[in-house]
Amino acid sequence: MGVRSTQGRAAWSLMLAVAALFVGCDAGVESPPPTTVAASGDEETSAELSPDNVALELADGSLYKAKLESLHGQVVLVDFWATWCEPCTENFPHIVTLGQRHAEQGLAVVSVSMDELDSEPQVRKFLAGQNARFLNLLTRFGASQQSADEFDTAGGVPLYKLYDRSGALRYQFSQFPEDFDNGQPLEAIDAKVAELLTENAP
Amino acid sequence: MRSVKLLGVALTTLIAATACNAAEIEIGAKAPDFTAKGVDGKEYGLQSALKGSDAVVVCFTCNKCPVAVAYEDRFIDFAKQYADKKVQFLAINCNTSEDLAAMKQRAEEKGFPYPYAYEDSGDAARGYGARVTPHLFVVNKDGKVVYHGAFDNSTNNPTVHYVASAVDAALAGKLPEVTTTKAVGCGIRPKRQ
Repeated sequence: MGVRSTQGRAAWSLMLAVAALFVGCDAGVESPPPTTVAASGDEETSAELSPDNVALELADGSLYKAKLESLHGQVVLVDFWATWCEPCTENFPHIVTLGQRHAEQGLAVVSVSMDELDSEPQVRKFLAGQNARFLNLLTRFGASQQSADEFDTAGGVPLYKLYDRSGALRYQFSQFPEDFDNGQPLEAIDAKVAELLTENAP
Repeated sequence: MRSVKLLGVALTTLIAATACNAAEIEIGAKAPDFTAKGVDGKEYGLQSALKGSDAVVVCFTCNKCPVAVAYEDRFIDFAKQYADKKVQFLAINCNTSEDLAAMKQRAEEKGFPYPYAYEDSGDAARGYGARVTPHLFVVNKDGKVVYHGAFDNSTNNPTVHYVASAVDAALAGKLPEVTTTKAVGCGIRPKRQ
C-alpha cells in the first residue's frame, strides 16, 4: 500500500495542477477539480465523467435499503437533493470533496435525487459536472409523499443522513439552524463524519 | 468509552428527534400568533386573520423554490374559491435570503388574491415547526391546528387535496381524515437565533 500511495499521490497532485487550470470554467455552480482518487482501489483513471457514464440508478425504498446494506462496514453519508433546490446544488461540491477526502478511511457517499423522472438528463448533467463518482440514485416517484415515505424523509431537501459502520442511522441534517446546534450544516456534517469514521474503525 | 457511547446515543436521539420526527406543532394545539410584514405594507398575523374568519390557512412559502412556485396557481385558485366561505389564506416567507421587494414583484406579477408577508426572524416558522416551502397549516375557528403538511399529494399530478379537505372539515366543525402529511419542497433557511 505504501508504494502505490506515493505514486498515487504524485499522479494526483499532477492531475490537480492540470485540473486547476479548468476550475471556474463552469458558470454558476462551482465544481471540485477532477481527481483521480479511486475509492475502491481500482487502477486510476483520468476519464472525465459524462452524463452518459455517471452511475445513476432509479430507486425505490427497497433498493435504497439494499444499497445501504451492501455498504455495511463503511460510514455512509446520504445526500438527498434535487436540481431545483439551490442550497442542495450549492452544498454538493462540499459533499463530493468530503467523500474524496475520507474515501480511504471508509466513507461512502450516496446521492438521492428527488427530481422527476423526466428530469433524468438534467440530473445526469449535474452529477457529471460535479464529478460524482459515487452511487447516485434517482427516486422513481418524483417530488411526492411517496418519495418521502419510501426513503423515510420528512419531505424537504436538502437532507443529509449519516449511517455508522453497522448501518445504524445516527444523524440527520436539514438546513434549519436548530437541527445542527445553530451552526452551519456543512461544518456539522464534517464533524459527525469524522466522529463516525474513528468510531469502531477497522 | 461507554459514557461516550451513551452520549452519542443521547445526542443521536436529540438530533433525530428534531430533524426527522416532525418538528411541527401537534394537531389540536393552539396555533401560535406571529407578526409579518405584507408586501402591501400592512402587518399580518394569525390572530388578526382569525378575526372574522371561519378558518385560516397559514402557508409557509417563498419566491425561489420551484416547488413553491409550481403551487402558486393552486394557492390562487384555492384562495378565490374559499374566499366567500370566510377562509383566509395567508402566505408567509421566512427565507432570509429573499427580500420584500422581490416578494412584492412576485405578488403583483401573479396577482396573489391573498396577503404575502415576510417574517425574517424565523420565529413564525419555529412556532409552527415549518421546515420547507411550501408547508401549510390549517387553523380552525378556535385557533387550533387541524392539519399540517403538503397542499396535495403531488407536485405534478395531484389526486388528493389535503388542505381543501382539511378546510372543509374545519368548516364543518370536524377533524379531517388526514391530519398530517409530509411537506415536500425546499428547506427553509431562517436566521440563526
